[in-house]
Amino acid sequence: MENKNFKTKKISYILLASFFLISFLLIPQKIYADDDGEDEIINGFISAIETTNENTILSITDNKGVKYNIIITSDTVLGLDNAVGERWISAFGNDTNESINRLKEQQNMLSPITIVLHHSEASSITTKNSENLDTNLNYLFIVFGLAWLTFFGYIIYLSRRLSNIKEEIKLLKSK
Amino acid sequence: MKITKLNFINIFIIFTGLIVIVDMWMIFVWVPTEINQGAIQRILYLHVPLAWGSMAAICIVAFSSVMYLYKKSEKWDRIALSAAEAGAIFGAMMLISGMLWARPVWGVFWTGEAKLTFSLILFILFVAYLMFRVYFPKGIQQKRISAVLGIIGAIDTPIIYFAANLWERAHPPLIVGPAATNDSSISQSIGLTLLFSAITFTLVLASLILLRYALRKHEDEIDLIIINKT
Repeated sequence: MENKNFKTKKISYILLASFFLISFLLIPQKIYADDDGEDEIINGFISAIETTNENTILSITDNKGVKYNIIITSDTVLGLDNAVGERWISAFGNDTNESINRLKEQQNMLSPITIVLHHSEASSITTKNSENLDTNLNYLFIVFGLAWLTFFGYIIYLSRRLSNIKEEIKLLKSK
Repeated sequence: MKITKLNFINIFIIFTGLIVIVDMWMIFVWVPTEINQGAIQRILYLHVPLAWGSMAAICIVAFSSVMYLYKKSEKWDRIALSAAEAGAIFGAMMLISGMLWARPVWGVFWTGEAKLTFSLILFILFVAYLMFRVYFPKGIQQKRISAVLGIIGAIDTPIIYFAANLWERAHPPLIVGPAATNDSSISQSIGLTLLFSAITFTLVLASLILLRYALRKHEDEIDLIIINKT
């Protein structure tokens, strides 16, 4: 009996130590990865596209009416859906004219656009990806199915254990 | 007819079931489809209340643990254990639903952002608490140490709540509670559905805790009978 207690204590200590170790490893990783303060995300609509000899500037207006002027570089990655939902992905510098046309198309469609800013230059400009909207229903089905299966399964498991344990108590009392 | 405790639990579960049906009707029929994410956004009516439920569960664990240490009453220990078990289920479902929503919307199952990491830690806390209860020898020492664990675990809750504001990334700013901002606004129908879902899942959490509490009470009764017999 004592040996068994010693073993269970040992397992508990190992588990607790592992838990605290994992926690300490996870916390700093998050803070360093997330809070570098260099990237900023802007959501809004394209209000103007201005091309000069040096660079292209995109004017974005967010949902509160704040206007941002963002510099697009040749490395800026574009991921844009057209009117029929086909996605076009390219770096701005690969085909500047096509990129500007695609951005103008987004401006005309008043598409909500997301820009990741890195040191006040756009590192990516994307619209929502609507290609997989229908297939995404699988995820919806899995999530709700799994949740309710788990809850009902757990309730049934508890109810059965409860009725079994009540029988057991009756039996023990009658002995 | 006299309403016994078990009758009350059954009535409560049936009532919760009816509310769940209304909630499902609201989620899949009543609320309009969100324009940007499409139907997949409906996962959030499950994910957000599950997150709320798991945070509420650890608060119940912590409160019951404090009460157990103060009053030394078995009742509080049973509540803490029941809430931890329900919280672990809520936590697991919160993580799974969040990952399955993030894959099509963010393109990845998981990011290293603060809210996700601390939510994972919350789930690990529940599991650690329950494993401790299982593996540590039964007795007052076990209950005392697990009460301390439960209280420590609750520290994670305010961190999860404030994480979206402190380390703002993919999760939107807070819309409910003392740290809520006006940056994130939601439409009335979406807000109402979210609120109703939160109430529904609070009832589901309460049902699970009540049922587990009743079971624990009977388990303790068996232990007592066996001890008395031997």
